[in-house]
Amino acid sequence: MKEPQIIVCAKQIPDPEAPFSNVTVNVEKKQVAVDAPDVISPYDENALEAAIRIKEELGGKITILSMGRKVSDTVLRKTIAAGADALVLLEDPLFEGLDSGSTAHVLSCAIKKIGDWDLVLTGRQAGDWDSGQVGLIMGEMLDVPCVSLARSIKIDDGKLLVEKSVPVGYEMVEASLPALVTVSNEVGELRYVARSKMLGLLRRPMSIPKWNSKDLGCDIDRLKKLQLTELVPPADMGRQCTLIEGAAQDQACRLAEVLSELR
Amino acid sequence: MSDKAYDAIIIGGGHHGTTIAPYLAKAGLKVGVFERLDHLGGGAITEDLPSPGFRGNFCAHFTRYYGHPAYKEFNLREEGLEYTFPDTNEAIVFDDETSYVGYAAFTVDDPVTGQTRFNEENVKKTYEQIARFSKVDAETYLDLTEKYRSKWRPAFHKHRYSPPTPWGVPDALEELCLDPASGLDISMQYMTAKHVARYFFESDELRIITLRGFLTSWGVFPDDVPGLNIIIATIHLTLGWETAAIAKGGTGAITSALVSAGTKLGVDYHINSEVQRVLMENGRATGIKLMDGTEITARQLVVSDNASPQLFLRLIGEDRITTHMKRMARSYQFDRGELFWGTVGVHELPNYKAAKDNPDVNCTPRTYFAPKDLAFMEDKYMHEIFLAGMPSKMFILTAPDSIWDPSRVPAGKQSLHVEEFTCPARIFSRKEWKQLTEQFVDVLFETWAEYAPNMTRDNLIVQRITNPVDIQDTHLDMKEGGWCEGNCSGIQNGRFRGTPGGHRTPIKSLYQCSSGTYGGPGIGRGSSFNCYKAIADDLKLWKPE
Amino acid sequence: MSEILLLVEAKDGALDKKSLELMQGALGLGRQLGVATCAVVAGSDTARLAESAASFGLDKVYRLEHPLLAGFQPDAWVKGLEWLCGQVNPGIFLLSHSFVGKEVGPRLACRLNTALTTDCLGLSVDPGDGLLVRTKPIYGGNAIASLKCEGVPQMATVRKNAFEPVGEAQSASAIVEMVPDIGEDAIRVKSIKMVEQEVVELDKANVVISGGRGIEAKEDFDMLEALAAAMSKSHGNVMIGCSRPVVDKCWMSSDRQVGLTGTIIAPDTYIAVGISGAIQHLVGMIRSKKIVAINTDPGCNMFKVADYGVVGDYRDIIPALVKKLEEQR
Repeated sequence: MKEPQIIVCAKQIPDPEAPFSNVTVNVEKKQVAVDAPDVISPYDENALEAAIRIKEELGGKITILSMGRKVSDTVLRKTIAAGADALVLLEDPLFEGLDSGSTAHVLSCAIKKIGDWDLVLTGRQAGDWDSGQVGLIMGEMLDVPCVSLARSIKIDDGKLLVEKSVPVGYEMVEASLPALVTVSNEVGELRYVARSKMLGLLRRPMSIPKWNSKDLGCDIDRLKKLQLTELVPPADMGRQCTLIEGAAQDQACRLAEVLSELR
Repeated sequence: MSDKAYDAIIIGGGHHGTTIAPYLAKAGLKVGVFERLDHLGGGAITEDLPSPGFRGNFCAHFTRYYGHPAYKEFNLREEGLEYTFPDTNEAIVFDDETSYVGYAAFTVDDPVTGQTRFNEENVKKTYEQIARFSKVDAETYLDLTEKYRSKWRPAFHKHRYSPPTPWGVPDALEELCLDPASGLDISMQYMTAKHVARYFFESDELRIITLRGFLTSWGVFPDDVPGLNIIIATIHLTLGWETAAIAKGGTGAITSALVSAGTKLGVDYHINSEVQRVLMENGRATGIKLMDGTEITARQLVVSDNASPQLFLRLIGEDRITTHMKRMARSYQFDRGELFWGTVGVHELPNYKAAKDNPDVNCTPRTYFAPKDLAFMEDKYMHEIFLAGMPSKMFILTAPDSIWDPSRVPAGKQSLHVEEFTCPARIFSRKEWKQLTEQFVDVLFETWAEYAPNMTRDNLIVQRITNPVDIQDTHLDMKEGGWCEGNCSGIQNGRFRGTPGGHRTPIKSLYQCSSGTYGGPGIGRGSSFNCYKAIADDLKLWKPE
Repeated sequence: MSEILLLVEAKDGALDKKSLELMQGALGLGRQLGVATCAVVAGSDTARLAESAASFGLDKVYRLEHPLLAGFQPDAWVKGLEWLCGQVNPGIFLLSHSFVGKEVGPRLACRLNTALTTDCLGLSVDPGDGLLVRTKPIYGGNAIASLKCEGVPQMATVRKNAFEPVGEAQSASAIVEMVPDIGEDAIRVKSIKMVEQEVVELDKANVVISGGRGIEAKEDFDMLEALAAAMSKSHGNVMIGCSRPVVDKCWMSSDRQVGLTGTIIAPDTYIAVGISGAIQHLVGMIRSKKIVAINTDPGCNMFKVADYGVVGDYRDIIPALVKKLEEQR
């Protein structure tokens, strides 16, 4: 068969591991501000890792598709350093704050514009809103077989074989290509990119196509923003922490007492 | 109704909070220090690093607190702060197995008083070291050493321990520049670090160590504008003028001694006591409110050991300051001084290839190993760091303190501090910092073994390397994880550091003593001492000599 | 407005507790709006399940019965439910935020040309426009958003524990059998085999000891196992859990992951080792009765939510702790 053409949809979000003290909820403006660097949503990184493994076995091409009001190509270049081949950025003020269905619509338009593809991979959910909808809806819109929660993905003799995480273990499923798969973290984390490779890549000029809603021929009436009626901070989760001090031995002794009391 | 009252309240028990407290107490004030964390000292702390059995400095390392007026004023030696003084001072080994060791021109003969003397023998040794690679630079060394002894040194001391002069009134260093015989020129305050290194030295060796020295002591990169005090401080490092000094038991001994002295003078230290807000009445600071709601009255003054953004934006609040102050505080730059810093416990100390020419490279308190690649340091080093978190060529600083202070290590073991610069925390995610730190350790040992073949992973017992995220999470004024409370170059150095007003803030009875003000970062620098002087002037209190 | 519909799920052949919670939420909305509240059970042999679902005061229970609905084949379920919605035109359609709900919800919403909100903690109806107000945590729980969407049916998936389980009612609901039109061609993804694995049910543990990114090596989990063994003699059921990075490294299977995308638990004691406390993890364990944190970083979030904190290296503390616990016996 021909070498697989894989598209990975990757969202850029503020570092979800940032401590909660870095998150400010603006009740009036109904906005969340996160004082943290942007990263690729972790499950999307897993999706890229899955794609790279397929490419290592079968060759082919990996295109990263990322959408937003303003996408940082520095963050996305990391995907190239890891093993992706091309980037396409979807930028338009209209793309800001869209609901899941509209996001899936824009991404589907871009995938159709790319045209030649066998497999679309994306994270099971994004690390900011954790909705877990866009991938599955894209499957519907592209009208292709759709598998969620993949823990391993293989292409064998032109067929897609996926180990899908299910509550009792995993299910081995099969589908024809083209197809869409949402990826879970059991796939494994995105390989680490050595700084030398990263440096080489950052210096290399790269042409990154940017497509807006006109380029994509999106149905603008189809683009709906999320309608927030209220945004509030969560209830305080803090507890009074008793610190157990001293040398490791003393700490262990005191902790043993504490644990005995907790029986 | 307030719950308690002090004459003077100090917000933050960091290094400068613990330094100013005994001064205020000695002036007869009842002093209360309020610290957010469960320990005092801020950057001046020593912990079980890299693991129990070892002791290492989590933050600040190189100190010369014996030279701070407080050392004598409060008998800190008797309070347990002892220094030892190695003869070697600063060394660098290069990738071509050459080296340079600077020997202290001023040595301390009497550790009790910390009194120094000019050491001709050491000057000769340093001269010979430099002459091996540059006769011209060796002559420059002699010339500058003489200028340092006669002019720079007294001016620098006066500058460090005097409050800033107002704009238009030359301070001690600006006056020095007006003296044609000083070797300094007023234009130098606008030179970049790269420019300074090129101006004074012709050899790649001294230029490299100067550029790395600007980083070591102030976090100033080659294209930053250091300013006069940083220029003198850095050339003094390059040429190894003042003796190196090792605080027995680590930097934390400074804090213990200061707190012990303060306690005797009646200072109350409150740990785990985070301040929520500075209380004000009619534009005057009247006390503080703690996170738990407790209100504490300041009968005379409040001193903040915080950098300006935290003090003005968080503790005072944007609604209570002018637009100008707000802009200054908001635009304060936290983008320098971030490190991979930590301690490695090893079986044996490094034996550098370069030791064949001079065995002293194996026992110098501040030893760098670095490529002899000036062009890289000048033009690429910082850019690579900001792109990838680590440069492709490492300029590592090490400090083998266990040679002089065996209390840092278990019997038969050794430890070294290691340092390389990195970029602000914001540039990478938490996961990436963790990965970068792991990679740093790998690269550290790979590189180290090229300079000292015994520094392989097998020699490593245990390591703990911190990255900017570790520092940022524990120290609110070290935003972005830099140890220097913000960029120290250009406008954030000298009399304009912090916000207008310096130690005297625009709010009545509110003073600022942190390293985010005039004096800058580093242990024993003058901000707290000078802040006390300003307070003493205003309140007609006792004045130190 | 037309009826409220909810999808009932089975667990080990019986009604899933989550479905009882969902019924409570749906019945509340039904009373408020004055509309019928109905449930659907789907499968190839749904008689018993439909009967159990009928004892909770719902107006109707639809038995969506078809051979292709056996087990859980998402393509067939989506098709079957799409067909049912075409028949009954629900005004609101609710699902549990479960394995099934997460998969079926978005696809069904797309086919019905409506919008779904997932992982809701609360639901209400805006009396002004009659739209469902969906409250859900975002940014891992750092903010709680309420939002509205256009489209019919109004759809949401609801998080476990968002409502109390409904109690049994006196009269049984009517059961309506429906046979959907599902062709073999609807099924594009074929199941080859189901591999059942031993699955750890962390929510059954009295004590959970979890390791996170701070754990330096996979082998170090042996220390946690040793602690679990030492504690299990006196503390009941002690299990090992982890935070997400550990699963990402493939050191642990995902059934041991505690947090937003793992298991949400509330054991008597939770011991977090080398876990900094990203909010996504905290959501999963914050309701633990007592929390103990061991971490080298005193500034980390875990200490802010812990009852007891030990600042130090687990490699020193845990072996000493195990020794101490064993001595105590």
